Amino acid sequence: MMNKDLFKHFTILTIVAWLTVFVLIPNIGVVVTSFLEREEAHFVSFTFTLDNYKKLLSVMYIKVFLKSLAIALYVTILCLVFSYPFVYTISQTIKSIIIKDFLLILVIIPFWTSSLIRTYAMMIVLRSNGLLNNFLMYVGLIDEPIELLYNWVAVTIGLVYSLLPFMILPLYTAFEKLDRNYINAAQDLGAGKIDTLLKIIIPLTKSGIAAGCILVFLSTLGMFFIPELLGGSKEILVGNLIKNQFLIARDWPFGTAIGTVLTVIVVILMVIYARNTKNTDQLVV
Amino acid sequence: MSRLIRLYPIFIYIFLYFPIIVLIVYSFNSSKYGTSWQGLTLEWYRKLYSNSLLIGSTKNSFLVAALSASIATLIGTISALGLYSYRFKGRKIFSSIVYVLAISPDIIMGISLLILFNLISINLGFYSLLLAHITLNLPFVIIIVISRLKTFNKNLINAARDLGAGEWTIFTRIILPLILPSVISGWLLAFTLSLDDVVISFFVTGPNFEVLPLTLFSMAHLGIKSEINALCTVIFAVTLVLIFISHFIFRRKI
Amino acid sequence: MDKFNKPIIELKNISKSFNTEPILSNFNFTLYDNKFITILGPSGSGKTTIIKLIAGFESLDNGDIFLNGIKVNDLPANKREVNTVFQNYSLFPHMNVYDNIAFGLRMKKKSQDYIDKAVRDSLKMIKMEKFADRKPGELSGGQQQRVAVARAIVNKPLILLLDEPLSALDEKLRKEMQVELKSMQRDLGITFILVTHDQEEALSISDTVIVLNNGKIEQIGSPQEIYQTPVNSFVASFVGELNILDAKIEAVEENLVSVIVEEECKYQLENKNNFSTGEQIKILVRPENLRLSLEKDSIIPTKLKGKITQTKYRGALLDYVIILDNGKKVTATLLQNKKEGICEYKIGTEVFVEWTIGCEVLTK
Repeated sequence: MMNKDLFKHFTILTIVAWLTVFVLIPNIGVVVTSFLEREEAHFVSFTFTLDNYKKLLSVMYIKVFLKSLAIALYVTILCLVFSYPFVYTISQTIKSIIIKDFLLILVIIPFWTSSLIRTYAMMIVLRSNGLLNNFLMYVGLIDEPIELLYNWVAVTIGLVYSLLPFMILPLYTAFEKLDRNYINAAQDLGAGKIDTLLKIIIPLTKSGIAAGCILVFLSTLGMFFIPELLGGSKEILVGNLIKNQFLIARDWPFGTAIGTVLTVIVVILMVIYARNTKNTDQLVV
Repeated sequence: MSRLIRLYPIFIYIFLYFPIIVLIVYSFNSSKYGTSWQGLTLEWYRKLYSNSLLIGSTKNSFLVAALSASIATLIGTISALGLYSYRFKGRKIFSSIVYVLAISPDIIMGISLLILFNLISINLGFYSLLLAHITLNLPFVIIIVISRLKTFNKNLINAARDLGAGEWTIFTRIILPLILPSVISGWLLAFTLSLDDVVISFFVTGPNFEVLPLTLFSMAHLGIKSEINALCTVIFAVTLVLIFISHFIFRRKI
Repeated sequence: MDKFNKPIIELKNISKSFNTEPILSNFNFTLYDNKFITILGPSGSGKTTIIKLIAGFESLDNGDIFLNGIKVNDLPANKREVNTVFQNYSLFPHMNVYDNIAFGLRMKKKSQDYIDKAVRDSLKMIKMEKFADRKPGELSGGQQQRVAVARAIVNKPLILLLDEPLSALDEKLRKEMQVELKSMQRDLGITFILVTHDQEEALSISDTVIVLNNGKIEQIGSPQEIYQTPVNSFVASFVGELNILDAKIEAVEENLVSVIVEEECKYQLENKNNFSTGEQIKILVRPENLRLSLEKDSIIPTKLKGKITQTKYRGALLDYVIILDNGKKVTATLLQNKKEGICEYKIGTEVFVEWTIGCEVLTK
């Protein structure tokens, strides 16, 4: 018979221990490493330096950060613009629960499918002798295949393609929580479809919009394989930069410096998100 | 106008599924580089089967996925219980860390664990990947189980206590059976995340331990090949099965 | 009935089904006056459906709806001159009280001055001037209810629909709101149509009551008519407590009938329904019209004998449940006051039951 206190300590200790060893310590390690010098044999030597951060302040690297943030912003906005009418239509016009359920599963399937596979599939469609080009030529819109791959357009399309479900699902949850009676009340008081949308539906689905946006934005910052596959070596984003430092240049300290800056950006965004969400003890997604 | 709006979702679904369907169709195409349709074939699937590298990678990935999902579910369920039921110093901090982990870019976790493993001299391979994936999966399991616990009727626990049950009994006989669907959902999600993970695997696995996503990634770098199409189709089919199972568990509702 | 005025509402041959289950069929109703109307009925009787059809949240399968003489079947809800107070109030949670009330006026594009005055006036009417900046989440149930009414009324609609607006309030608050709603209706002169399943509520505040059952109107009338002269046993038993006695018609003389009640007693009653000899009828009597005594009467039996099996003390009233000799159960309600003398019979006492002649209703 385990007593109450023992059980309590056991459960708490489990999570505290694991998080401390595998999250807190490693991240502290990252920050510490960013202030060290690189070394051939053991990757780092314990010499303090600010060189890594100084390196980051150069125009080239700042450009990478800005470009990454910009693409993340574009992708987020595109996802929102495409997803909102989608969820609005399904949630508001479809009355049958069975059909709604089915349509939801159709969104969950891509959500659970590996992003790598989906990106690869997009490669097939976008490449030179791929379907899209063949179709455009067949229809007569172009004479020669356009270089659809290996540029930032392809990267953006690929990111939107991968992350669309990440925007749809939180929006869908928010819409389902919306009480139909608010819409009835608005109509009762004379609001047309547009007024109802702007004044009632959008404000009341704000939490879903925020959750979807932060999910998509943060995911964009870290996924290096999508820019690499669809952008070739031309499109360097923050994720690719970090990866290259660790893999190719073997400059761990510099890599961790970039990582630390990324972490700081992420934390700032999360704080902003948490402040603006009512439930501050749970970043509900 | 409203008629047109109703058609809009169809376009989104087409956008979402078109590339995958193309992929699946091409995996049966006898043309090697998938340029034009040359007839139905299972050749690529046969080739997959005899590709020892791929088979090895697949086995490794499934092994790590199953193990990390199971361990993460175990630790995660217990942790969720602790975080939800008890008030302790640092509770808010650790709760927040869990949520932050869930939506943070994986790459941060990847490099931090690499630093850790280097520090404590763990060789990069099976064990490092396993530990990394458990850490990856943990937040998601915890969030799913906590969501369920929030709708749990506390009076059931009080009733059990009133009748003399100890903590462990309450956990195994009362709580666990009722939250089981969520726990299983957590396992399935964890399994999928581990199976599909590219970013973290990239940093924490070694040359001696090949995993499927990385193998796929390096193959994809070289361009479109029908074998890859077949491989992707197989993985996609596995995902479908997992969703199917998860959905039917959820049908019984949490 | 005024032939020169258009009816405020006319529902003609309305049919409505949900998932092949018919809720209303061939429903007809016409209203001319600005009064407080209550639609009273059990759950599933179709009363909420009627409101939704009038407001425009549901569409008709068959039939027509006219508001002020104009056919509105296809007119969407946001264009009808009808406003609704919802059961859970449905105040917009992201707007404060002022903006909630102002919403309808803003939709009509009224001027800012007009809106400000109208909202301030209605806040005064519901005595919540200081709450203009509060959000609905910061209000109590009763306060939310009043804001919901204000939000609807400020638009000066033709008709105000109220969908069980008081069901979520506690007893005391409910009674207060009933009085307030009644006086609001009088002051504003708008037609109120209230939907409820609470018969006490219906009786206390309405000018007219419509009793609804299974999509059909059982009776329309003033509260007095509904209570004292119900047309059938459904209306009689739904509105207030009721005793149902079996009787057989022995003889008919002019406008009187002789009946044998519960095969025991003989009575002479008014023959309002033109029954004929030999018919089996039911006599409906309210518990407050029964009289109990301990003495048998004289040779001709006019009192029913029974035993008290339950008592219920209700402060000003005392209920007695009596099982008659033939097994039938009746309830009697006696007033307790010093003048009549506190009359308490114990359980098991043998009593004799009769009722005040003229207070009964005869039906098949």
